[in-house]
Amino acid sequence: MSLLNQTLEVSAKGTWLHRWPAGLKLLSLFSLGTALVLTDHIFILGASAVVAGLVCLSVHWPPFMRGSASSTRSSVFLWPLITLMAIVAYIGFVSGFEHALVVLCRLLALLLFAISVMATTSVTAMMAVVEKFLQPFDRWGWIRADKVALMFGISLRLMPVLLEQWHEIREAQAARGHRASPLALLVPMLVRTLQRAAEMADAIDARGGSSAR
Amino acid sequence: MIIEFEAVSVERGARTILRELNISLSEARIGIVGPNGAGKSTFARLINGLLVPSAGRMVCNGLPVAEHLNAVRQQVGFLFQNPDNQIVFPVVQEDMAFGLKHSLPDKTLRAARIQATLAQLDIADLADRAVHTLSGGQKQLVALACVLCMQPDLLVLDEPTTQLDLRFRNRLLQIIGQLPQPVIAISHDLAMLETFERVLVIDQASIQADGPAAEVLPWYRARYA
Repeated sequence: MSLLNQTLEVSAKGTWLHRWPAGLKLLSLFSLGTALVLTDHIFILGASAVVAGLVCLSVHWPPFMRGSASSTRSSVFLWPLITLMAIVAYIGFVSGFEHALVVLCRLLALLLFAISVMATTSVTAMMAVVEKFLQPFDRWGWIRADKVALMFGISLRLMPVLLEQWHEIREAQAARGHRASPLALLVPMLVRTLQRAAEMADAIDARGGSSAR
Repeated sequence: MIIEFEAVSVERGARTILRELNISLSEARIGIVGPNGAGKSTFARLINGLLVPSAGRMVCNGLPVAEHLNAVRQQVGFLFQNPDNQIVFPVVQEDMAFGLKHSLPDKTLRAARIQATLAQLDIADLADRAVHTLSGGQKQLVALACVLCMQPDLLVLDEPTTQLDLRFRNRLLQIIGQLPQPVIAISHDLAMLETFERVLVIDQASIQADGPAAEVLPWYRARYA
């Protein structure tokens, strides 16, 4: 399971970053992200990656990540690191070592800052920020802020579910001797996702979720 | 709590799912059985207005369901077959809080209700867990907790034990047995329904049998086995 999914489990213990308001954390993340994308200075990006690492280490990890088993910790980091290294290796091959180092520091800093925010902010708090941010558009009648916030929360919940569904479909087809073809995977994926969406909508209705106004 | 089906029919295209049902449900434990595709889930979804009948009228505790959807849905809790489709938030207590957002706006009261419900089901340790890290049985208990924390007057369970192993099945049945609310359960798990006061058999768009579990279940086993 990806690191992003693991961080959905917010640590209950309060650290300095837990105490920051969710809005301030998301605004800081957005500002830092923008600044990191705009600069190509290797020293600034390297220092940012180091700071991001320190911030990450200073927050309380979800319980399973604080466990003593090093294998658990390493498995959580393994795939994001492999992905990151693959991207950097490709850029290094295409554009040279220096550019690859810039991209590595930038992505690492962004990833670690984002993880720190995710690990210390509940989805409910993030939804409240999204809803508050969209309130002006809601007042003008352009969108329903509460519905967009709900969509944001559900999308976080659905990431691991859809990933599991994708693996199930791939395994089912492999078991029948089919090679993975995009069409053969996408069609059942789409059908099952639509069925799931319909049932989720029913589940939200059954709990009065559509009666917000 | 009285649920009344008044000449209720449900049609999808040319197919009749349920035909002119006239029935009143008021017992504390009611089981619904029948072959796959017989219309059991449709029957259950009519009760809290998730489905609207093509003809006839649903009445829940004197309230016409179609005209009092929100009030009825607050009274009738619905547990779906697949908890993955019922739990819409990534973390257990956030999902429970979602259901209570409008009925219990006070955050302190809401948190207390969530803790009490989790404790009632003996799953207080799952409060901060990410839903995707739970087993199927744990997810079903969490889904039940999400429904129970809204303190419904009636529970409708759509095949609640289908995806559970024996340990979680027995645990869920024990919890359901202790609930003070009336329960309407759709199930292929006939052993679960043996202690129920009333069992309905739905097939061919109508009710084929209706009576105490001790009479209906042997008939059902003999006819549909």
